[in-house]
Amino acid sequence: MKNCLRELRESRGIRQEELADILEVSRQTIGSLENGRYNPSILLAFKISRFFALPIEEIFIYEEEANEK
Amino acid sequence: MKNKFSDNLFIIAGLILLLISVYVYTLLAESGNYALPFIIFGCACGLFGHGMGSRLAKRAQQKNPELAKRVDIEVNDERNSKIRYLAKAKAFDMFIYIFGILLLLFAVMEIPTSAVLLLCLAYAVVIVFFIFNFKKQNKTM
Repeated sequence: MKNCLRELRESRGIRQEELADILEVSRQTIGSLENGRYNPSILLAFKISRFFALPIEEIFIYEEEANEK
Repeated sequence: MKNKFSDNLFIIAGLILLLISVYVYTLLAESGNYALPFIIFGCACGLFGHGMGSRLAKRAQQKNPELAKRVDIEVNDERNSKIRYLAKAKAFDMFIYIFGILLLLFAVMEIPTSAVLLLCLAYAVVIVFFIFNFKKQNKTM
């Protein structure tokens, strides 16, 4: 699953550590999310969505083809 | 408060076991049986170390709320939890194979039947516990 977390974070001038503190997760989790190595739980996805005041589907892009493989 | 109590309990139990191990050592010194006092000594060290370590960690966190928050995040972080569970699952899968091979080897070697049966029982208990938990989680989720 792709996401635009890095772009959103950088557009707000927030460091990974700061976003991690706000979302109460580790900095490594933010890094993994941004690199697309880790898909968040629905709770974390909602937290991110609320923080950026954007719908989840605008932050996380579900790719059906990639998931079917 | 409860955690502090359990930490103190571990520390006291450790110290008591330490004294018991010294006493048992002096009792059995003449017979040359050193296994039991050293087993008790090992348990004492484990209990004391666990209790003291936990208490010192809590004290450090009380003095530094920032550190406490950081530790809390690291422990409860969902990615860390997932990694921990995945690692445990892999280790369990590996354990099943290794234990099975070990059982076969022990059965082929001239190991006393009681020891092999005990190992078989331990193996069965682990498997039954896995199945029980699987069913339990299946009902709750």
